Amino acid sequence: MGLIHIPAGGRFPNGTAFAPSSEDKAVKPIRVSVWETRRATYQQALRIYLAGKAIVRETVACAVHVGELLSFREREARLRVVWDPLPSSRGHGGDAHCGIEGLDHLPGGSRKEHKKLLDDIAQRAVRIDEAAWQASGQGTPGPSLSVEARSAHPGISRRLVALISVFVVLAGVLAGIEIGRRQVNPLRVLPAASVGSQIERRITEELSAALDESESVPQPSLPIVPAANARVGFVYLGICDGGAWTKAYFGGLPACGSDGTLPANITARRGTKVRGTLPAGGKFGDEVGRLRFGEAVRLVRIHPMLGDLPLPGPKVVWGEISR
Amino acid sequence: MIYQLPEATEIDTAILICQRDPVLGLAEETRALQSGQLDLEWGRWSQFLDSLTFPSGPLAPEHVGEVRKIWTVLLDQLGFRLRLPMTQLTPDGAIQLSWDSGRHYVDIDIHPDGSLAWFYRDRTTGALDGTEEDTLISLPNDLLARLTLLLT
Repeated sequence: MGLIHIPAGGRFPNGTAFAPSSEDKAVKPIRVSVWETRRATYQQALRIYLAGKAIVRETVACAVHVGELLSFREREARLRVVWDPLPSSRGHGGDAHCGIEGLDHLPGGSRKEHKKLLDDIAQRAVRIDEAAWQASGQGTPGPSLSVEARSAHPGISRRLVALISVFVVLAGVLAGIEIGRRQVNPLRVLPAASVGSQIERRITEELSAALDESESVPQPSLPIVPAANARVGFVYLGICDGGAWTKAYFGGLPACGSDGTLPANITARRGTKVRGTLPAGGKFGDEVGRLRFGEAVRLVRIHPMLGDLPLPGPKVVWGEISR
Repeated sequence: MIYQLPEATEIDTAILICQRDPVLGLAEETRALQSGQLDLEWGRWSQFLDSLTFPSGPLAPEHVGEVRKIWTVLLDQLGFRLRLPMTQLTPDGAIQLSWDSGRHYVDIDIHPDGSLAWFYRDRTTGALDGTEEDTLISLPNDLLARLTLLLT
Protein backbone atom coordinates (compact mmCIF):
# COMPACT_ATOMS: atom_id res chain seq x y z
CA MET A 1 0.00 0.00 0.00
CA GLY A 2 1.24 3.44 -0.73
CA LEU A 3 0.28 7.02 -1.30
CA ILE A 4 -3.15 7.40 -2.77
CA HIS A 5 -5.57 10.14 -3.70
CA ILE A 6 -9.24 9.27 -3.79
CA PRO A 7 -11.39 11.81 -5.58
CA ALA A 8 -14.82 12.71 -4.28
CA GLY A 9 -17.11 9.80 -4.97
CA GLY A 10 -14.25 7.54 -5.93
CA ARG A 11 -14.39 3.92 -4.92
CA PHE A 12 -11.67 2.47 -2.74
CA PRO A 13 -10.04 0.01 -2.93
CA ASN A 14 -9.19 -1.23 -6.37
CA GLY A 15 -7.07 -4.25 -7.12
CA THR A 16 -3.83 -2.39 -6.65
CA ALA A 17 -4.50 -2.29 -2.91
CA PHE A 18 -3.95 -6.03 -2.85
CA ALA A 19 -0.79 -6.07 -4.95
CA PRO A 20 2.23 -6.94 -2.81
CA SER A 21 4.37 -3.96 -1.87
CA SER A 22 8.14 -4.02 -1.89
CA GLU A 23 8.03 -4.73 1.84
CA ASP A 24 5.62 -7.58 1.24
CA LYS A 25 7.99 -8.98 -1.36
CA ALA A 26 10.86 -8.97 1.10
CA VAL A 27 9.59 -12.19 2.66
CA LYS A 28 9.11 -15.54 0.95
CA PRO A 29 6.53 -16.60 0.22
CA ILE A 30 5.35 -13.13 -0.60
CA ARG A 31 2.65 -11.96 1.79
CA VAL A 32 0.45 -8.92 1.57
CA SER A 33 0.49 -7.40 5.03
CA VAL A 34 -2.92 -7.21 6.68
CA TRP A 35 -4.37 -6.99 10.16
CA GLU A 36 -6.95 -9.12 11.87
CA THR A 37 -9.34 -6.49 13.11
CA ARG A 38 -10.43 -8.23 16.30
CA ARG A 39 -6.98 -8.54 17.75
CA ALA A 40 -5.80 -4.97 17.35
CA THR A 41 -7.30 -1.54 17.33
CA TYR A 42 -7.00 0.66 14.30
CA GLN A 43 -4.59 2.91 16.12
CA GLN A 44 -2.39 0.02 17.16
CA ALA A 45 -2.20 -1.29 13.63
CA LEU A 46 -1.67 2.19 12.29
CA ARG A 47 1.17 2.86 14.70
CA ILE A 48 3.01 -0.23 13.58
CA TYR A 49 2.22 0.35 9.92
CA LEU A 50 3.54 3.90 9.96
CA ALA A 51 6.63 3.20 12.03
CA GLY A 52 9.71 4.33 10.18
CA LYS A 53 7.81 5.77 7.25
CA ALA A 54 9.10 9.14 6.23
CA ILE A 55 5.81 10.68 5.26
CA VAL A 56 3.01 10.61 7.76
CA ARG A 57 -0.37 11.67 6.49
CA GLU A 58 -3.95 10.56 6.64
CA THR A 59 -4.76 6.91 6.27
CA VAL A 60 -7.51 4.86 4.78
CA ALA A 61 -8.21 1.19 5.26
CA CYS A 62 -10.15 -1.52 3.56
CA ALA A 63 -11.20 -4.90 4.83
CA VAL A 64 -12.22 -8.24 3.42
CA HIS A 65 -13.48 -11.39 5.04
CA VAL A 66 -10.93 -14.12 4.83
CA GLY A 67 -13.54 -16.63 3.85
CA GLU A 68 -14.55 -14.58 0.86
CA LEU A 69 -10.97 -14.08 -0.12
CA LEU A 70 -10.29 -17.77 0.03
CA SER A 71 -13.23 -18.42 -2.24
CA PHE A 72 -10.88 -17.50 -5.06
CA ARG A 73 -8.60 -20.46 -4.37
CA GLU A 74 -10.12 -22.29 -7.29
CA ARG A 75 -8.50 -19.71 -9.54
CA GLU A 76 -5.35 -19.22 -7.52
CA ALA A 77 -4.39 -22.24 -5.51
CA ARG A 78 -1.60 -20.36 -3.75
CA LEU A 79 -4.11 -18.11 -2.00
CA ARG A 80 -4.10 -18.43 1.75
CA VAL A 81 -4.15 -16.19 4.77
CA VAL A 82 -1.61 -16.86 7.45
CA TRP A 83 -1.10 -15.52 10.89
CA ASP A 84 2.18 -13.66 10.91
CA PRO A 85 2.56 -12.09 14.36
CA LEU A 86 5.11 -9.35 14.72
CA PRO A 87 7.57 -9.22 17.60
CA SER A 88 6.25 -7.51 20.68
CA SER A 89 8.99 -4.94 20.26
CA ARG A 90 7.00 -3.52 17.35
CA GLY A 91 4.29 -2.49 19.75
CA HIS A 92 0.86 -3.55 20.87
CA GLY A 93 -1.29 -5.16 18.24
CA GLY A 94 1.54 -6.93 16.49
CA ASP A 95 -0.06 -10.30 17.13
CA ALA A 96 -2.94 -9.26 14.86
CA HIS A 97 -0.65 -9.11 11.87
CA CYS A 98 -1.46 -11.56 9.12
CA GLY A 99 -0.44 -12.06 5.52
CA ILE A 100 -2.21 -12.94 2.32
CA GLU A 101 -0.19 -15.24 0.13
CA GLY A 102 -0.68 -15.91 -3.55
CA LEU A 103 -1.35 -12.35 -4.67
CA ASP A 104 1.94 -11.80 -6.46
CA HIS A 105 2.14 -11.90 -10.23
CA LEU A 106 4.07 -14.94 -11.30
CA PRO A 107 6.63 -14.46 -14.07
CA GLY A 108 5.16 -15.50 -17.37
CA GLY A 109 1.63 -15.28 -16.08
CA SER A 110 -1.03 -13.20 -17.75
CA ARG A 111 -1.06 -9.66 -16.42
CA LYS A 112 -4.70 -9.21 -17.31
CA GLU A 113 -5.77 -12.38 -15.53
CA HIS A 114 -3.74 -11.39 -12.48
CA LYS A 115 -5.32 -7.95 -12.40
CA LYS A 116 -8.72 -9.53 -12.84
CA LEU A 117 -8.12 -11.62 -9.73
CA LEU A 118 -7.03 -8.59 -7.73
CA ASP A 119 -10.04 -6.68 -8.98
CA ASP A 120 -12.35 -9.48 -7.91
CA ILE A 121 -10.86 -9.42 -4.44
CA ALA A 122 -11.12 -5.65 -4.30
CA GLN A 123 -14.78 -5.95 -5.20
CA ARG A 124 -15.30 -8.05 -2.10
CA ALA A 125 -13.40 -5.56 0.05
CA VAL A 126 -14.96 -2.56 1.70
CA ARG A 127 -13.49 0.71 2.75
CA ILE A 128 -13.56 1.03 6.51
CA ASP A 129 -12.74 3.74 8.93
CA GLU A 130 -11.65 3.49 12.53
CA ALA A 131 -15.21 3.15 13.81
CA ALA A 132 -15.99 0.32 11.42
CA TRP A 133 -12.76 -1.37 12.38
CA GLN A 134 -13.64 -1.20 16.03
CA ALA A 135 -17.18 -2.37 15.39
CA SER A 136 -15.85 -5.43 13.63
CA GLY A 137 -13.92 -6.31 16.75
CA GLN A 138 -16.91 -6.18 19.05
CA GLY A 139 -19.07 -9.09 20.04
CA THR A 140 -17.97 -12.45 21.19
CA PRO A 141 -14.36 -12.96 20.26
CA GLY A 142 -13.54 -16.12 18.45
CA PRO A 143 -11.01 -18.63 19.65
CA SER A 144 -7.59 -17.19 20.05
CA LEU A 145 -5.24 -17.66 17.19
CA SER A 146 -2.74 -20.35 17.86
CA VAL A 147 0.76 -20.58 16.53
CA GLU A 148 -0.49 -23.38 14.34
CA ALA A 149 -2.66 -20.85 12.56
CA ARG A 150 0.50 -19.49 11.01
CA SER A 151 0.17 -22.11 8.33
CA ALA A 152 -3.40 -23.17 8.83
CA HIS A 153 -5.60 -20.53 7.28
CA PRO A 154 -8.93 -22.11 8.36
CA GLY A 155 -8.09 -20.85 11.84
CA ILE A 156 -8.94 -17.35 10.73
CA SER A 157 -11.25 -18.09 7.87
CA ARG A 158 -14.18 -16.14 9.24
CA ARG A 159 -12.22 -13.15 10.37
CA LEU A 160 -11.89 -9.78 8.80
CA VAL A 161 -8.49 -8.69 7.67
CA ALA A 162 -7.71 -5.13 6.75
CA LEU A 163 -5.14 -3.23 4.79
CA ILE A 164 -4.02 0.23 5.63
CA SER A 165 -2.89 2.75 3.10
CA VAL A 166 -1.52 6.23 3.33
CA PHE A 167 -4.28 8.49 2.15
CA VAL A 168 -3.41 12.03 1.34
CA VAL A 169 -5.87 14.66 2.41
CA LEU A 170 -4.76 17.96 1.08
CA ALA A 171 -7.14 20.24 2.88
CA GLY A 172 -7.36 21.17 6.48
CA VAL A 173 -4.53 19.12 7.86
CA LEU A 174 -3.04 21.17 10.63
CA ALA A 175 -1.05 18.64 12.52
CA GLY A 176 2.70 18.52 12.19
CA ILE A 177 3.70 17.14 8.85
CA GLU A 178 6.90 15.37 8.15
CA ILE A 179 8.63 16.45 5.01
CA GLY A 180 11.36 14.05 4.20
CA ARG A 181 12.55 13.10 7.64
CA ARG A 182 12.31 16.49 9.22
CA GLN A 183 9.42 17.52 11.33
CA VAL A 184 7.61 20.65 10.30
CA ASN A 185 6.06 22.79 12.96
CA PRO A 186 2.29 22.73 12.85
CA LEU A 187 0.49 25.83 11.81
CA ARG A 188 -0.90 27.82 14.65
CA VAL A 189 -4.67 27.87 14.54
CA LEU A 190 -6.07 31.35 14.57
CA PRO A 191 -9.56 32.42 15.61
CA ALA A 192 -12.13 32.24 12.88
CA ALA A 193 -13.09 35.50 11.26
CA SER A 194 -16.12 36.39 9.24
CA VAL A 195 -15.84 36.93 5.54
CA GLY A 196 -15.43 40.59 5.03
CA SER A 197 -13.28 43.45 4.04
CA GLN A 198 -10.84 42.87 6.83
CA ILE A 199 -9.57 39.61 5.49
CA GLU A 200 -6.48 41.11 3.98
CA ARG A 201 -5.59 42.96 7.14
CA ARG A 202 -6.22 39.95 9.31
CA ILE A 203 -4.10 37.75 7.18
CA THR A 204 -1.21 40.08 7.02
CA GLU A 205 -1.34 41.13 10.63
CA GLU A 206 -2.62 38.20 12.64
CA LEU A 207 -0.98 35.51 10.66
CA SER A 208 2.24 37.40 10.49
CA ALA A 209 2.18 37.83 14.23
CA ALA A 210 1.52 34.18 14.77
CA LEU A 211 4.21 33.07 12.44
CA ASP A 212 6.73 35.56 13.68
CA GLU A 213 6.64 33.88 17.06
CA SER A 214 7.96 30.75 15.48
CA GLU A 215 10.48 32.25 13.17
CA SER A 216 14.03 32.13 14.28
CA VAL A 217 16.40 31.87 11.36
CA PRO A 218 16.60 34.97 9.19
CA GLN A 219 16.78 34.35 5.49
CA PRO A 220 17.20 37.70 3.80
CA SER A 221 16.57 36.57 0.26
CA LEU A 222 14.79 33.54 -1.04
CA PRO A 223 14.66 32.41 -4.62
CA ILE A 224 11.19 31.11 -5.33
CA VAL A 225 10.84 28.48 -7.98
CA PRO A 226 7.23 27.48 -8.36
CA ALA A 227 6.44 23.84 -8.81
CA ALA A 228 5.64 22.78 -12.32
CA ASN A 229 2.12 23.70 -13.32
CA ALA A 230 1.57 25.71 -10.18
CA ARG A 231 -1.84 27.23 -10.15
CA VAL A 232 -1.22 30.88 -10.57
CA GLY A 233 -3.66 33.09 -8.82
CA PHE A 234 -3.92 31.19 -5.60
CA VAL A 235 -2.37 32.46 -2.46
CA TYR A 236 0.36 30.40 -1.03
CA LEU A 237 1.77 30.23 2.41
CA GLY A 238 5.23 28.83 2.64
CA ILE A 239 6.20 26.73 5.60
CA CYS A 240 9.86 26.34 6.29
CA ASP A 241 10.95 22.78 6.83
CA GLY A 242 14.10 23.58 8.71
CA GLY A 243 12.56 24.48 12.02
CA ALA A 244 12.09 28.13 11.17
CA TRP A 245 9.13 29.72 9.52
CA THR A 246 9.11 31.41 6.20
CA LYS A 247 5.96 32.85 4.86
CA ALA A 248 4.99 34.04 1.46
CA TYR A 249 1.66 34.99 0.06
CA PHE A 250 1.84 34.43 -3.56
CA GLY A 251 -0.23 34.39 -6.66
CA GLY A 252 -1.95 36.45 -9.28
CA LEU A 253 1.33 37.74 -10.44
CA PRO A 254 1.22 40.10 -13.35
CA ALA A 255 4.72 38.91 -14.07
CA CYS A 256 3.55 35.45 -14.96
CA GLY A 257 4.07 34.17 -18.44
CA SER A 258 1.60 34.78 -21.19
CA ASP A 259 0.59 31.15 -21.06
CA GLY A 260 -0.51 31.55 -17.49
CA THR A 261 2.34 29.69 -15.91
CA LEU A 262 4.76 31.16 -13.49
CA PRO A 263 8.17 32.18 -14.73
CA ALA A 264 10.89 29.70 -14.05
CA ASN A 265 12.71 31.81 -11.55
CA ILE A 266 11.49 34.51 -9.25
CA THR A 267 13.52 36.26 -6.64
CA ALA A 268 11.50 37.41 -3.70
CA ARG A 269 13.27 39.59 -1.23
CA ARG A 270 12.27 40.41 2.25
CA GLY A 271 9.61 43.06 2.11
CA THR A 272 8.52 42.18 -1.39
CA LYS A 273 4.80 42.49 -1.66
CA VAL A 274 2.78 39.91 -3.49
CA ARG A 275 -0.87 39.46 -4.06
CA GLY A 276 -3.31 36.85 -5.20
CA THR A 277 -6.92 35.94 -5.58
CA LEU A 278 -8.88 33.26 -3.87
CA PRO A 279 -11.47 31.85 -6.23
CA ALA A 280 -15.13 31.66 -5.46
CA GLY A 281 -15.77 28.46 -3.61
CA GLY A 282 -12.25 28.37 -2.28
CA LYS A 283 -11.85 27.87 1.40
CA PHE A 284 -9.17 28.97 3.71
CA GLY A 285 -7.57 25.82 4.89
CA ASP A 286 -7.36 24.44 1.39
CA GLU A 287 -3.89 23.33 0.69
CA VAL A 288 -3.30 24.80 -2.69
CA GLY A 289 0.22 24.36 -3.71
CA ARG A 290 3.83 24.13 -2.99
CA LEU A 291 6.74 26.39 -3.62
CA ARG A 292 10.37 25.66 -3.79
CA PHE A 293 12.55 27.98 -1.86
CA GLY A 294 15.98 27.25 -3.21
CA GLU A 295 16.48 23.56 -2.64
CA ALA A 296 13.89 23.28 0.08
CA VAL A 297 10.27 22.57 -0.60
CA ARG A 298 7.48 23.90 1.51
CA LEU A 299 4.02 22.57 1.64
CA VAL A 300 1.73 25.50 1.37
CA ARG A 301 -1.85 26.14 2.12
CA ILE A 302 -4.24 28.95 2.58
CA HIS A 303 -4.42 29.69 6.23
CA PRO A 304 -7.61 28.36 7.82
CA MET A 305 -8.77 31.68 9.10
CA LEU A 306 -12.25 31.24 7.77
CA GLY A 307 -12.78 27.67 8.71
CA ASP A 308 -14.92 25.91 6.17
CA LEU A 309 -16.78 28.94 4.99
CA PRO A 310 -16.63 29.15 1.22
CA LEU A 311 -15.80 32.51 -0.17
CA PRO A 312 -18.74 34.25 -1.81
CA GLY A 313 -16.61 35.33 -4.71
CA PRO A 314 -13.06 35.90 -5.84
CA LYS A 315 -11.18 37.61 -3.07
CA VAL A 316 -7.97 39.50 -3.31
CA VAL A 317 -5.52 38.86 -0.57
CA TRP A 318 -2.04 40.12 -0.26
CA GLY A 319 0.98 40.01 1.92
CA GLU A 320 4.68 40.27 1.78
CA ILE A 321 7.76 38.21 2.01
CA SER A 322 9.13 38.84 5.44
CA ARG A 323 12.21 36.71 5.22
CA MET B 1 15.66 35.16 -16.30
CA ILE B 2 15.02 36.61 -12.89
CA TYR B 3 11.72 38.24 -12.11
CA GLN B 4 11.08 40.67 -9.34
CA LEU B 5 7.72 40.27 -7.70
CA PRO B 6 5.64 43.37 -8.27
CA GLU B 7 4.18 45.63 -5.69
CA ALA B 8 0.69 44.69 -4.65
CA THR B 9 -2.04 46.64 -6.36
CA GLU B 10 -5.76 46.45 -6.68
CA ILE B 11 -7.31 43.54 -8.46
CA ASP B 12 -7.79 43.99 -12.15
CA THR B 13 -8.65 41.88 -15.11
CA ALA B 14 -5.06 40.86 -15.51
CA ILE B 15 -5.54 38.67 -12.48
CA LEU B 16 -7.91 36.48 -14.39
CA ILE B 17 -5.41 36.08 -17.14
CA CYS B 18 -2.80 35.10 -14.63
CA GLN B 19 -5.18 32.63 -13.13
CA ARG B 20 -5.26 30.65 -16.30
CA ASP B 21 -4.59 27.10 -15.46
CA PRO B 22 -1.98 25.34 -17.62
CA VAL B 23 -4.32 22.42 -18.15
CA LEU B 24 -7.80 23.77 -17.71
CA GLY B 25 -7.11 26.71 -19.93
CA LEU B 26 -8.20 30.29 -19.64
CA ALA B 27 -11.72 29.81 -20.91
CA GLU B 28 -12.49 26.97 -18.57
CA GLU B 29 -10.89 28.68 -15.63
CA THR B 30 -12.70 31.92 -16.24
CA ARG B 31 -16.00 30.14 -16.70
CA ALA B 32 -15.43 28.28 -13.48
CA LEU B 33 -14.63 31.47 -11.69
CA GLN B 34 -17.68 33.20 -13.05
CA SER B 35 -19.96 30.34 -12.12
CA GLY B 36 -18.40 30.00 -8.72
CA GLN B 37 -17.69 26.37 -9.36
CA LEU B 38 -13.97 26.30 -9.70
CA ASP B 39 -12.87 22.75 -9.63
CA LEU B 40 -11.19 22.60 -6.29
CA GLU B 41 -11.14 18.87 -6.53
CA TRP B 42 -8.89 19.25 -9.52
CA GLY B 43 -6.67 21.51 -7.49
CA ARG B 44 -6.38 19.00 -4.71
CA TRP B 45 -5.51 16.28 -7.13
CA SER B 46 -2.91 18.48 -8.74
CA GLN B 47 -1.41 19.21 -5.36
CA PHE B 48 -1.37 15.53 -4.57
CA LEU B 49 0.70 14.96 -7.67
CA ASP B 50 3.05 17.71 -6.62
CA SER B 51 3.36 16.19 -3.17
CA LEU B 52 4.66 12.99 -4.68
CA THR B 53 7.83 14.55 -5.95
CA PHE B 54 11.16 14.67 -4.24
CA PRO B 55 12.00 15.65 -1.54
CA SER B 56 8.56 15.61 0.08
CA GLY B 57 7.63 12.56 -1.93
CA PRO B 58 9.43 9.60 -3.41
CA LEU B 59 9.18 10.45 -7.10
CA ALA B 60 11.11 12.49 -9.60
CA PRO B 61 9.32 15.55 -10.95
CA GLU B 62 9.71 14.14 -14.45
CA HIS B 63 7.63 11.14 -13.48
CA VAL B 64 4.77 13.31 -12.28
CA GLY B 65 5.25 15.39 -15.39
CA GLU B 66 4.50 12.31 -17.48
CA VAL B 67 1.23 11.92 -15.60
CA ARG B 68 0.29 15.51 -16.27
CA LYS B 69 1.08 15.06 -19.94
CA ILE B 70 -1.17 12.05 -20.15
CA TRP B 71 -3.95 13.81 -18.29
CA THR B 72 -3.67 16.69 -20.71
CA VAL B 73 -3.99 14.31 -23.64
CA LEU B 74 -6.96 12.60 -22.04
CA LEU B 75 -8.73 15.89 -21.50
CA ASP B 76 -7.91 16.92 -25.03
CA GLN B 77 -9.29 13.69 -26.42
CA LEU B 78 -12.20 13.10 -24.08
CA GLY B 79 -13.02 16.45 -22.57
CA PHE B 80 -14.03 17.30 -19.06
CA ARG B 81 -16.63 14.57 -18.80
CA LEU B 82 -13.81 12.30 -17.76
CA ARG B 83 -13.78 12.27 -13.98
CA LEU B 84 -10.64 12.68 -11.98
CA PRO B 85 -8.99 9.34 -11.48
CA MET B 86 -8.14 7.67 -8.23
CA THR B 87 -4.39 8.05 -8.19
CA GLN B 88 -1.89 5.95 -6.35
CA LEU B 89 1.58 4.58 -6.43
CA THR B 90 1.88 0.97 -7.45
CA PRO B 91 4.31 -1.41 -5.80
CA ASP B 92 6.49 -1.43 -8.91
CA GLY B 93 6.99 2.32 -8.85
CA ALA B 94 4.36 3.45 -11.32
CA ILE B 95 1.72 6.09 -10.82
CA GLN B 96 -1.65 4.57 -11.45
CA LEU B 97 -4.73 6.43 -12.64
CA SER B 98 -7.93 4.45 -12.32
CA TRP B 99 -11.60 4.96 -13.08
CA ASP B 100 -14.39 2.76 -11.85
CA SER B 101 -18.02 3.14 -12.88
CA GLY B 102 -19.12 -0.09 -11.32
CA ARG B 103 -19.45 -1.95 -14.58
CA HIS B 104 -16.42 -0.55 -16.35
CA TYR B 105 -12.99 -0.33 -14.83
CA VAL B 106 -9.88 1.18 -16.40
CA ASP B 107 -6.46 1.81 -14.99
CA ILE B 108 -3.28 3.20 -16.50
CA ASP B 109 0.13 2.63 -14.94
CA ILE B 110 2.65 5.31 -15.82
CA HIS B 111 6.25 4.42 -15.17
CA PRO B 112 9.13 6.81 -14.51
CA ASP B 113 10.46 6.40 -18.05
CA GLY B 114 7.08 7.31 -19.48
CA SER B 115 6.17 3.78 -20.50
CA LEU B 116 2.57 2.77 -19.97
CA ALA B 117 0.50 -0.23 -19.15
CA TRP B 118 -3.25 -0.31 -18.96
CA PHE B 119 -6.05 -2.60 -17.98
CA TYR B 120 -9.75 -2.64 -18.73
CA ARG B 121 -12.47 -4.84 -17.41
CA ASP B 122 -16.17 -5.01 -18.10
CA ARG B 123 -17.46 -6.60 -14.93
CA THR B 124 -20.78 -7.44 -16.57
CA THR B 125 -19.59 -9.20 -19.69
CA GLY B 126 -16.23 -10.27 -18.32
CA ALA B 127 -14.40 -8.65 -21.22
CA LEU B 128 -10.76 -7.88 -20.55
CA ASP B 129 -8.43 -5.62 -22.43
CA GLY B 130 -5.09 -3.96 -21.92
CA THR B 131 -1.41 -4.59 -22.10
CA GLU B 132 0.70 -7.47 -20.95
CA GLU B 133 3.91 -5.46 -20.92
CA ASP B 134 4.86 -1.94 -19.89
CA THR B 135 6.05 -0.92 -23.31
CA LEU B 136 3.56 1.61 -24.57
CA ILE B 137 4.80 5.12 -25.02
CA SER B 138 1.52 6.73 -26.01
CA LEU B 139 -2.16 6.27 -25.34
CA PRO B 140 -3.62 3.75 -27.78
CA ASN B 141 -6.99 4.26 -29.38
CA ASP B 142 -8.24 1.09 -27.70
CA LEU B 143 -7.65 2.66 -24.32
CA LEU B 144 -9.33 5.91 -25.29
CA ALA B 145 -12.30 3.93 -26.55
CA ARG B 146 -12.55 2.13 -23.25
CA LEU B 147 -12.34 5.37 -21.35
CA THR B 148 -15.28 6.76 -23.27
CA LEU B 149 -17.35 4.17 -21.47
CA LEU B 150 -16.62 5.97 -18.23
CA LEU B 151 -17.57 9.45 -19.32
CA THR B 152 -20.19 11.09 -17.18
